[in-house]
Amino acid sequence: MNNLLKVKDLRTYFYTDDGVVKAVDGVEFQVKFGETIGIVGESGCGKSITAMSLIRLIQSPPGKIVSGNIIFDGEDLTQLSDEEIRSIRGNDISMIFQEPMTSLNPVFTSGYQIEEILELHQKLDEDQARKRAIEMIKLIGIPNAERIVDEYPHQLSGGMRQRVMIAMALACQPKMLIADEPTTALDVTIQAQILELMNELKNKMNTSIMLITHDLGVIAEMADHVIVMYSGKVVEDAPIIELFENPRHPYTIGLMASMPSLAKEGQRLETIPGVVPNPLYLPKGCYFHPRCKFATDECKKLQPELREIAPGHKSACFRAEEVTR
Amino acid sequence: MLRYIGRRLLQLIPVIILISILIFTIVKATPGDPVGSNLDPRATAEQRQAERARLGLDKPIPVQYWNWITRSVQGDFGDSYIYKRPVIEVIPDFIKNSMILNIFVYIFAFLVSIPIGIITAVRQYSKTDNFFSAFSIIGISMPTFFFGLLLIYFFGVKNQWFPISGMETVGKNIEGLAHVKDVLNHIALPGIVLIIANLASLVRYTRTSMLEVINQDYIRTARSKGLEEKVVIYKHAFRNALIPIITIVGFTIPSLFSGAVMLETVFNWPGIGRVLVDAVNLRDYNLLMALNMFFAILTLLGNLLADIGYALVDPRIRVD
Repeated sequence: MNNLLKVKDLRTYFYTDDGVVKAVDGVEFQVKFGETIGIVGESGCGKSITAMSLIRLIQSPPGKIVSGNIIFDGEDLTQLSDEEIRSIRGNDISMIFQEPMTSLNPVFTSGYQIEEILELHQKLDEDQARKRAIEMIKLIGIPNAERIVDEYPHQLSGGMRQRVMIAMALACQPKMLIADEPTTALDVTIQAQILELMNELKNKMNTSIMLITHDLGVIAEMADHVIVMYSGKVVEDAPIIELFENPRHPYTIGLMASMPSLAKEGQRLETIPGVVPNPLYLPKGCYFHPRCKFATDECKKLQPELREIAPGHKSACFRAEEVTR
Repeated sequence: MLRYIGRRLLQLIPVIILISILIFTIVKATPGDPVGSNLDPRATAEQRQAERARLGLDKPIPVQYWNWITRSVQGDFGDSYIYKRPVIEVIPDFIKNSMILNIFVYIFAFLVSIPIGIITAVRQYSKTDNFFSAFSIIGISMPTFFFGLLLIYFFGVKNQWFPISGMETVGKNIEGLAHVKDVLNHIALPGIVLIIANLASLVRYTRTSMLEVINQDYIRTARSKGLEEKVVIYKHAFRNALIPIITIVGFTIPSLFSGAVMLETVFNWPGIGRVLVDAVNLRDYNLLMALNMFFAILTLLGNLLADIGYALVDPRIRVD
């Protein structure tokens, strides 16, 4: 399998009045054709900014992609003109967001919002676009699609709206779908349905998925490959089974330990002590060292590089070989 | 929708009756009456009493109200004491004069302020935005009479570019296009004052409303679809920002017919604003009641129009 996406040394900074926030700081990863890659990390670690950087949706000012390459299907997205990147957005790379309740425009019908993207990228006329929109709504498993196309978002439930978002995102059969916490705002049964739907459509259309979440359970179910991020950097990068069986970064280990599970019933839930550092005042050395129980003097002074510790498995920890669950 | 409008119009009737009672009571509660100004200052008490009886002011207030309302619903609003003519003949001319000025002002103000409001929101904190913020604060804070006097001084006295008083050149008796041009010339200075005063608040209003919308998730969605920024702003964002702006348009309707007293005085504009003040001062009850009711009904209709406008642009508001 070839790479659909290769991100090299991506840096997205925000220039605020209080200083420079390095939201994404040297991120590297790859996505293969038809693969689902999971990006995990706590709030504020740069997952969403990484995703937004890919399609250059960073608000500028204050944000800016300072350096790096985003090679997508042979083209460097950082080098494209505004018009060229617009023809990729929604067409080759599309995105669904965390908040289905607010991600659809309240003054347009759900059908119109799907049709709009078809008319824009596929150059369909109104009738064709409407037919295709109804097809898409059927495809995402909503009964009586003919009625739903004319309904406004406020007439639909959260799960329905997220389905409409997915229909919209997949309308042009994109090569990659970025899903930014697509199920966080939904209740658990709907969550499972949405994830299943995404998996099904991915297989049907051979779309790669970039799944951003803080829920390791969702990752375990969906992803082929996982990237763990902390304070704007990738700290671990491994295939899914390898990561769960053999995590090699103290942060990943901490995340896994803090997952609630039935087996540990009756015990206190483990947590990672401390909080995510303020991005304006990052600690010296490894950003994770103040919260790390494995930290040594070296960790306080130097920043570890992301390095390959086993075939296909990278970790950014000086003691990657020693740390285990 | 038609049924909704019909229902709302019917609901207006009791509201209007209540308002008329309220206004009538307040007007009558004001000390003084028009008798003094109607008669010779040396009039005897008997003559005063006779005048009061002639005007029907000697009866109890509820009876006076009943007489007034029964006449009014038949279209007879009585005579103006000041103008010694039926109210119905007095009002239209003055209102027409105010309207000429107001229509010009509001069309201009809305056409200019909405685009500026959008641009300042899209480029928040840019130089353009800061310029218009400063401009708005000055525009809102500067009293119209002062600004009017400044304009008169610079463009009417120092450079005699525009006439400074009245609505048309007296004694010129011109017709057709030349007359329109003459009136427009007279509108220029008071028009600029009113446009700037209105512009300032409308720009702020549009800007705030747009800013609120621009940061919504669905705007990010629209961008992620690959839509052009133009489409994102003017279609996806503006359709949503329009909802609060419609309120302002609704509120503007009664002010289209009303006059700015200060400005009409400064520029000697023959509008309704000064007539209203005179009517209050001289207790011209018939004129006062007719004008107040007219504005009250316009305000109610303006609100109704705003509600209908909401329902048209916002599908979340159902009217039936």
